Formats: sequence, C-alpha cells, structure tokens
Amino acid sequence: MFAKKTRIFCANREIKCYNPHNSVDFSGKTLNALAYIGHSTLDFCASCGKYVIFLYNTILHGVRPPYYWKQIFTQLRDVGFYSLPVIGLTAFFTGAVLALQSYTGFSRFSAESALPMLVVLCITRELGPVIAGLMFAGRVGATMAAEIGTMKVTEQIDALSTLSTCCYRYLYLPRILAGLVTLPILVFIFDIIGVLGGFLVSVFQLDFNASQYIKMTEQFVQAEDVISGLVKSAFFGISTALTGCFKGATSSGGSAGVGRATMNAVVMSSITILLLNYILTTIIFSK
Amino acid sequence: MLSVRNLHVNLNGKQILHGVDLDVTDGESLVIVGCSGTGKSVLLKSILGLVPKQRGTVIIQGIDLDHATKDERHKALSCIGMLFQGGALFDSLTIWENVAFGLIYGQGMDPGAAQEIAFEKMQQVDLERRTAFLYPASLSGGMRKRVGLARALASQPKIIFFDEPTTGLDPITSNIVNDLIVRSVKYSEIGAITITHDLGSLRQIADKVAFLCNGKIIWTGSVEGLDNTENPYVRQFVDAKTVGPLTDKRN
Repeated sequence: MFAKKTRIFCANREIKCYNPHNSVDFSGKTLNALAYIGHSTLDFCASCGKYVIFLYNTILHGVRPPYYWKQIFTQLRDVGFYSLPVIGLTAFFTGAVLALQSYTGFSRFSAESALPMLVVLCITRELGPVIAGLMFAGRVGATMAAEIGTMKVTEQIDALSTLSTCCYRYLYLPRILAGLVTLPILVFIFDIIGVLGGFLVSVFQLDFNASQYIKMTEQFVQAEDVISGLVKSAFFGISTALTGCFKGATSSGGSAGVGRATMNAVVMSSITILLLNYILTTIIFSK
Repeated sequence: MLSVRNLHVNLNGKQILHGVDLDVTDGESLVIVGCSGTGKSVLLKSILGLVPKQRGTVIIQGIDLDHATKDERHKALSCIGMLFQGGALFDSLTIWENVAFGLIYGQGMDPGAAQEIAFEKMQQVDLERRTAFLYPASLSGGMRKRVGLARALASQPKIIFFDEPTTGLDPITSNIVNDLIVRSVKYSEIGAITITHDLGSLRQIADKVAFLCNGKIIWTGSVEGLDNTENPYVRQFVDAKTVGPLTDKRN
C-alpha cells in the first residue's frame, strides 16, 4: 500500500506517482515496470523526433550553397570504392553457397534445372540489396558514427561552427549523398559477382552446362528484378548514412559514448534495413 | 565590442549560469577564473551559440544576436575566433589546411591565397614551415595549441576566446603560449576572453579579471586587485587554500 505521494526511482530518475485511491494496492514492481515502459516510450519518441529534425536540417542546409565538392568526392571514394572488396567477397560466397544449398534442395524432387533461376532472382531481388546493405551498415555506418562521434567529443564540430562552416553541409550531407549514390552501385556489383559465384560453383562443382546456365539466367532475369533491388538499396544507403551521422552527432560521454553510438548506429541501421526491405518489397511487388 | 547581459543557461535541468554580465572592449584582455565546474566553458559556448541560452542578451559589435537577421548574426559570430582546450584540430587535415580552414570553407577564399595566409599565421605563432604538411596526430600538445591559435587568428577576428590555453603544458611551453597570446591580442588591438586556472598565465595576459563562482560573476577587478581583494571566495582561490567558502559551498 502506498501513501498518496510516493517516491519511486527508475533508471536513476525519480518518478512522481500519485495514487488517488489509497485503497488500491499497487506493488512497487508493477509501478516500476510501468514507469520503465513509459520512460522508454518517451525516450523512443524523443529520439524519433530528433532524427526527423536532423534529417530536415540536413535537407534544408544541403540544398543551399556552398557545396563542398571535395568532401562529396572524398566520401564517394571512402564509402563506395573502399567498400568494394568486402562487398565483392560477400557476394561471391553468397552466390556460391546459395547454388550449393539450392542444388541440395532441388535434387530431392529432380528440379535442379531451376537452380540458375533461383540464384539470379534471389540475388537480384533480395540477397543483393539486403546483404550488401547489412555489410554497408557494418562498415560505413560504424565508420561514420565513430568518426563524427569522435569529432563531437573532441569539440571539432564546435570548432567548425566557430570557423563559419555549417556542419550539415560539410559533414553530414556529403556522407548521406555518398550513401545514396554508392550503395546502388555496390549492389549492382554484388548482383554480378553473386551470380558469377553461383555460376562457377554450378559449372565446376555441380557439373552444370555453362552455356545452358547462362541461357537460363538470361531467360529468367528481368530488368524489374534488378531495378527493384537498386531502388531498395538507395533507401538503405540513405538510412544507413543518416543513422551513422545522427548517432555520431548525438553521442556524448567520451570514448565510451562514441563506442555506444557506433554500436547503436550499426544495430539501428541493420534493423532499419530489414524493416525498410519489408515495406519496400510490399510496395514494389504488390502490383 | 562584446557585451553580455543577464545570461542564464540551463543544461539538462541544471542551472549552469545565473545571470552573467560582462563587457570586453577593443584591445582588452578579460580573464575569467573560477573553480572547475562553475560554468566557464559553458559561458564561452553560450556566447557563441554552441550552447542554447535560457535568457539574456549577447551583443557583438553592436549586433544583438536575438534581434539580428541571419546574415547579421553570421557576421557578428564570424568576428569571434576560438582556441579550444584540446585544440580541436581536424584530424583528417594537414596543419596548413587546419589553419586555412575558416578562410577556405567559411569565407570561400581561394586555397592558394589561403595557404599563403596560413603560412604567415604559422610563422606568427613560431611554427616552422615544414610542419605545415604534417597531421595533428604527429604534433605535441604545445604545438597543437599554437596551431589552434594560428587557426583562430587566420580569419582576423575582432575577439578571441581562449579556453584554458595553457592546461596540460609544461611551464616553459605555457610561457611561450602566453607570450603568443599577448603578442597576438594586445598588439593586434583585438579583444580577448581567456578562461584559465593558471594564475601565472593570468598575471601575464590579463587586463581585467572576473571570478566566476556557481554560475555568477562574483568579483571583477584588475590583476593587482586580485592580489589585494578581501573577497573570501577569491582569496581562497588565489591562496589555494583547501578550507574556505568555495569548498564549503561545494561540499
């Protein structure tokens, strides 16, 4: 039983509770759990609001000159070109394993001939954008959050303002543009290398006829399959870069804070990619 | 030149500044001293707009920031240079690029012309030309401060803020940095606000001293006045006594 005003602490914060009916019995655990849910919901809403404001400011400042072309090209190189090895390797082994596993499944009901179709459709429609997106989130999202977070805690972002330079234009916009432009290109490369990986395993390990494999792949793949993956990846690229920048820009608490921001950026980017993938797939393929 | 009236700052529900008033004129060097955590750095950042103020007025070069247009505000704030405590140099840029940053990106100057000015400012703070193409990670603490000072001076500000310019430096390097500040500020006729705990540094660079305690300026005067004051808070700080009103208040 609580008195009319009760002091409850949850996550080091005092929650003022008011119980108008003294006769109602609230256990401390129940109230604490409710308070925790309430605070988490409020924190989540506040974070979403800050995220949207961050996006708004980036767009608002980004459309106005000056444009920092050097920064944009540097980010295109760092984010896109330097991601090629990891994307290429992932693509090759994804295609190879997909061919092996599908062959095992298809051979149970003598449908091995469907293998080229499955490999090309899976890679172009789903695996390409999603796996490349997740790799991109791990590599690029983490880098952006760590780099910007370090700049924040070492006052470099404050220094930018004192030097009459807008951090949205100089820091965030080039990164977000790089995410938007490079991930679709990386996904296209992923598609090619992934299909190549499946082809090599099918021909040299599973004894498929090379020309027949290529013919079937050509026959089944359509422009829509590839384009849908590229469209999805453009959204993944923006969301990953935006999340990396946002988490870095809102980090605090020294090196531990930067570490947390980096981890949160990767987790949040990955979840956003999976969620967006579902939404975009529903929209694109509902026709 | 710079006038601050009744400045209040509240951060995360905690009142940091409780109505700060200060004035700095051309060629005047104001040094703000006080214990750690009294809001000295927050004061500088709130003047620059890096920390939001709750209420109060900041007037720079006759422009009231609250009633200024965006361009006027930009013009007023670009009159201020700042040397950050840790230097805040951009790790990915070379030393000359750091020094010329405000000129290239803030003022849109041609990189070639900006590089010449950067070399000139580096020379002014006794940095050799060969350091120009190094990265900040390869510099010592004292050199980083000098680069920060050169960067702050490069944009030809009317007022410079120094946030603990000699913290973490040995006495000789501290003296060198103090000399540079005096040379750069006093002889260039620009205003300066310096935050420091270093009384030796204060005596070298201050024209006027303000003592900040718990978010309020409780004493202002000259360097001589600091040594002769009867204010118990300032007395305890100057004499570095462990017992007194400052420690009582903190406890």
